[in-house]
Amino acid sequence: MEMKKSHIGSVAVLELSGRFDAYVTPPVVEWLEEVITDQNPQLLVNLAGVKFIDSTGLATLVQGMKRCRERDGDLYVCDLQQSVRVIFELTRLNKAITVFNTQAEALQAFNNAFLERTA
Amino acid sequence: MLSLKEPLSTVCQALDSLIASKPEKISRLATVWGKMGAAGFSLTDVSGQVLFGWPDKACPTMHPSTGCPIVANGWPVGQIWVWGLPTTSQSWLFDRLQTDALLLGQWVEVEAEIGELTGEFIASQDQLLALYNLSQSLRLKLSLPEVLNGLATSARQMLNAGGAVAWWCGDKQAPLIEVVGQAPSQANLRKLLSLIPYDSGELLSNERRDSETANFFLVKISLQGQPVAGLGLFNKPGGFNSPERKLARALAQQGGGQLENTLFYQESLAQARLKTEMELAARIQLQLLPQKAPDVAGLEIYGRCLPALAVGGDFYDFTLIPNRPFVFALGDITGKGLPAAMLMATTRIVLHNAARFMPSPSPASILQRLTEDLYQDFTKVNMFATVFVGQYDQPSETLRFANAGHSPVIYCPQDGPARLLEPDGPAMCILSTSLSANEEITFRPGDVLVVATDGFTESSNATEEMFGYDRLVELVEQLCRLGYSAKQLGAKLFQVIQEFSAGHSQDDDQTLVVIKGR
Repeated sequence: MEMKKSHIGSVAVLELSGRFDAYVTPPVVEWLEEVITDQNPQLLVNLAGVKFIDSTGLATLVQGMKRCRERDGDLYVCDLQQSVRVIFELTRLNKAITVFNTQAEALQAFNNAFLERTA
Repeated sequence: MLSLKEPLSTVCQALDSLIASKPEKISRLATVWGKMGAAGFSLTDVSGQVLFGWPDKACPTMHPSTGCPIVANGWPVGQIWVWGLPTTSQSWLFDRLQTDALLLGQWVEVEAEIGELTGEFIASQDQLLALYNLSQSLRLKLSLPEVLNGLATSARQMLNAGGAVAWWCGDKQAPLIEVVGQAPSQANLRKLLSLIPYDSGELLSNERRDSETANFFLVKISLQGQPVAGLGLFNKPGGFNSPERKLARALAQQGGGQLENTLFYQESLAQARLKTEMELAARIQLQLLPQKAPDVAGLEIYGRCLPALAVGGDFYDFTLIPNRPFVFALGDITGKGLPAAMLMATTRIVLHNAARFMPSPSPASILQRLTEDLYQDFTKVNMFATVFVGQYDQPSETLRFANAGHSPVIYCPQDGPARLLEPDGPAMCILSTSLSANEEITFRPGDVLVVATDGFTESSNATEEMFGYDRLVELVEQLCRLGYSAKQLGAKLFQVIQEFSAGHSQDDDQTLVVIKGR
């Protein structure tokens, strides 16, 4: 599994590829701990390269989402492959975690949220 | 050959012990002198004391005597005396006496050497015994301190040291040091241990450093490649020269093998204990699940759980209260093993009580109640659960249900194809409220509902192929058409999955509830 970390403006972006399963969650959890610091954390997980996600992978995303929301921030996911999208829909996780088709849309949404907050 | 450094006393004692052990040979010597015309013969030690006398122990100074010193290893050890011979025999007399003295001297040397070798032989027997005791202690399965103590004791005995220590540095900070005999205090020992250089693993001192320690030799022992143990010897008379150091190293090696065995044995014991506890926990867990299907009018019911490890996070529950519709549920806590099992226990109770005590529960309200009660705890430990709750109302022949993220749930009506009932909301405790609403399906005699956990759909075969949802739905439909009862269906589903995944380990808990209308 490959991980690419970056920052676009105030959004921390993580690009994953490969299998998102139990062996892969520790470095992702580390990233969550690195980037979720003070208020309004904005996290984007780009799953364009992820072919398979299991319950531990889902649990890690949920964990990240909850922590962000506790600090008035949020975690979005984007660029889901078909197989992963099916899992999200089957488990209705799409009702809990906000899913975007593209990274650009996700970043735009973060920007809007930021503007709303500071208005 | 004994060296000149031999203490005088051993050789002198040798003359004495020679006379004591071979009196008949000395007597022969004396009687031959007698036959040659001598009046008397005696052997004295260096101080002149008569050790042997013929015909009696008369002192040679009382007669005009001829004497000759007996020399062994360059040391005078006594004299040989003869008197009463006519003076005409002087020349050959002295030669003869000298020869006898020479032979006696050599005899004394050989006897002394034998004595020395016997002493060494006994000492090496002692050493062998000590070595044997050391290796015996392994088979007695002693504790770590006992093995360390045994090693120190044996080493001290074999090397004739004043004191010995054996230590082991485990995962705790302070090393465990066993002390035998005269050795520095624990605090001073720890200081010494820290001075042992890393590369050689040994520390030697043949010079007196303080009042209590004349000399010492410390050698580290590697266990599984790590220098975490060691052997130390203190106060050996003569110091630690090359042969002593070699022996100490050999003992350390031997001790190392035993320490490894002891540590391994202790670990096996701990694991065996843990295994027993887990097996007990597994029994309890399975006993807390419904032991038999309740007798509900209009339904055949089957339920079974097969955990992947000893304990797991899957559960199912049946709640039958008089004058209330029958409620059943099935859930899957994230993960498996002990953590999931702990949460499963709580979840099952809360759900059961909600079904029992809420005034007029519906599946959705039960899920809501469950979420409210468990959200904080689940969030704290970063877990959640997929849960399916069903409620059967016989008069109206309907099955109401609410599904929080759970699948597979397969509904197969008697007169139609089997289909998946998809969840309505995400798994329970992802959000602080439940999003799952009540849904209804008709449930008439012959209709079948199969609620399983993903241990079924995600079970893999030897080629890492997953069973999958489609195959499960097809299988359920086939079995329904064959008219299988709930119990037969359940048993058959487990059987098919076992056969499919033969050759592959069971990665997830497998739990199943089958409801059939009758």
